[in-house]
Amino acid sequence: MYNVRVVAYLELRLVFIIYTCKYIVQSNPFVDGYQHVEMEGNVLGSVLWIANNCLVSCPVIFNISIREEHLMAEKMKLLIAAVTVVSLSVLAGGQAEAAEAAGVDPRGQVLAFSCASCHGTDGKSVSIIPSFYGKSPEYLETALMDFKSGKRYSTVMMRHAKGYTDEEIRLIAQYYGTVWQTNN
Amino acid sequence: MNQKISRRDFSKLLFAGAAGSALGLSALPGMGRAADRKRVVVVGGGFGGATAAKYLKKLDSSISVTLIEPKAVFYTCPFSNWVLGGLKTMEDIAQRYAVLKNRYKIDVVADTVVSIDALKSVVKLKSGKVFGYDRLIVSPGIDFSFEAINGYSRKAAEAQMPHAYEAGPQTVLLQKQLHAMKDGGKVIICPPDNPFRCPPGPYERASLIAHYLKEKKPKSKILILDAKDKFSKQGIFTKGWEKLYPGMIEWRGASTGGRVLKVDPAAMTVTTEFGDEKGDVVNVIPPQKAGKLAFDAGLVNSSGWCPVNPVSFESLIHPGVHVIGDACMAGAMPKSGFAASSQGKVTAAAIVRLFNGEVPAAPSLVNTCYSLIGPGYGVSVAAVYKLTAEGIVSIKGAGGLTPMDADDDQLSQEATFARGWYNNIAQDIWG
Ligand SMILES: Cc1cc2nc3c(=O)[nH]c(=O)nc-3n(C[C@H](O)[C@H](O)[C@H](O)COP(=O)(O)OP(=O)(O)OC[C@H]3O[C@@H](n4cnc5c(N)ncnc54)[C@H](O)[C@@H]3O)c2cc1C
Repeated sequence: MYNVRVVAYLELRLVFIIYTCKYIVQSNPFVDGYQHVEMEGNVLGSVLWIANNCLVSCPVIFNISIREEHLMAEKMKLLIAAVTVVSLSVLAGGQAEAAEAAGVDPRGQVLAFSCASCHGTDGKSVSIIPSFYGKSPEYLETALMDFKSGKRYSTVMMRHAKGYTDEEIRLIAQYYGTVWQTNN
Repeated sequence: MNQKISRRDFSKLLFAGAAGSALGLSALPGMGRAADRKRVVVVGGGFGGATAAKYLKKLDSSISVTLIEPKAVFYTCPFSNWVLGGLKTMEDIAQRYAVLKNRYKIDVVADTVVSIDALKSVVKLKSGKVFGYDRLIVSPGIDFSFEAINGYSRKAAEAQMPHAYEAGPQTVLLQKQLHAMKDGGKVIICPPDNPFRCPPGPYERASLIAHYLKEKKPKSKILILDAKDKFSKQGIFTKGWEKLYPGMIEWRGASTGGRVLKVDPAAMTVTTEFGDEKGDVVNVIPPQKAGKLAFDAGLVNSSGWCPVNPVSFESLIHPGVHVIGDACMAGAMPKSGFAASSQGKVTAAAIVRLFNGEVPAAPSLVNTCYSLIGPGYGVSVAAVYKLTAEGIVSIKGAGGLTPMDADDDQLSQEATFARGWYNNIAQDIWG
């Protein structure tokens, strides 16, 4: 369980780094006056460092520093300061991550929240669309897997279920199969 | 208000962050009040904002959440076409804030945000009130580029040629005009080019106006003058029109005489490259951009929409400000109420994790848009999204359209599920 979460986190981070770098390199408004060569050398390296260590706020820090600082040296100073901020916060984040014991799986929660837009908050439907409320994790997992394989027919669920891995389906089923036991 | 940040301010910002991190808190912004309740201000009580506010409280009731929305009653655009078709009333699409206020203990403030100071982390309201925040969520919806269409204006929309692309008085005006029209009249609908709010919206509208006309004024016609050469769910819409309203709806793409060059509201004419068309009812849907506040607060880039970090929807321009819904640039996601709500949930979850010094979970985003072609004839488009190096993309092999060869049973089930969807999403957001 812990390993799955760590891997998911690393994957997310990798994707985010590349996304951030592409965004910053493409958005010329932020880098006007600077050569792309320079961008790809020192600065991009620093961006990588920053993005690698922080998922949020650092692209923002970086954008501001580029907009506001017209001297390379100054900019590098700021980047170093930013890197310090970032590494400290990641340390703190890492500890919190380790401390996160049982409880609700955060990824499962985010995955499951999507379903509520048609099936109601916590899976409690107020319309003809089926409710998850009171259903077991096993029941929900089987239903979703059957929609995914096409074994069970549905107008729209067959299209949705194909968007999730078996592990994600398990997390969603776990969430709705237990949330009604904890929330009134 | 375009934020200008001096070097000194910037260093302050950084060091405030460093101090906070050393104490084991998350990075920027709103540092240094560890013991206090965290405060989130949400601007806009529509699909994105109201969802984010509710889910923040659901995830952590100790967070103080303020929702700022000037309207006491929010009329949803979803199902406003059903009102035009005579299948729903305005009251059916009215949403209110009592449950968010009373049950979820959200501080709902009936006011308009006039400015955002992202460095000081405060918003200013029209009334002069000021609210500080640790994180700000902005979901202001869209604004219209009236000037993009020669002869069109906000005044023309309010008097002769409604856009009805914000539900409320505009929907009522368009409905009144349809009711006043003679049998044998002509309704002209002018949809904009991409990107715009609810890509299938204008075509569902044409369908449901056709339903109304078929019942009440069967000699009437609908002409769609489109700024595009193809449109959302085109195949299934066209098929539905042929089946339910044969000969009633004519669609012209941009390069076959659909492109609108100018309009004359007094004469009720629309000029295209192929000549003038006169309508009895003219529904002009102008090109769109992020809501005005996003411009005033400097949250937009040159595209007129707001770039965001796809993990937490935090602005790539102003730290601590998250932009969701139609106003943000969310990769492959369309500008829909479903998408806005999905983004609201991801953002709420990310913010709670950040407050606790944790890395947000990888986002999971979904969209399903139902369109009604006739009362028992529904179709849908669905997608599941993931974050990749290209940003938010839809997962291949999942989602997609109602099949072209769907039988009557499936189409009627989809119409039933469309009604179910509305009730459940309204409950999930405002109930
Ligand atoms: C005809 C039509 C049909 C549609 N059908 C569907 C459908 O079937 N399914 C679907 O998913 N989507 C549909 N949509 C799209 C959907 O309406 C939008 O995508 C959705 O409303 C976007 O949510 P939002 O939170 O970005 O903006 P909105 O829902 O528009 O909310 C924005 C809110 O912010 C408030 N606001 C703005 N500025 C300020 C300020 N400065 N201070 C305080 N408050 C402010 C506004 O008053 C408003 O209430 C449809 C749209 C149209 C036009």
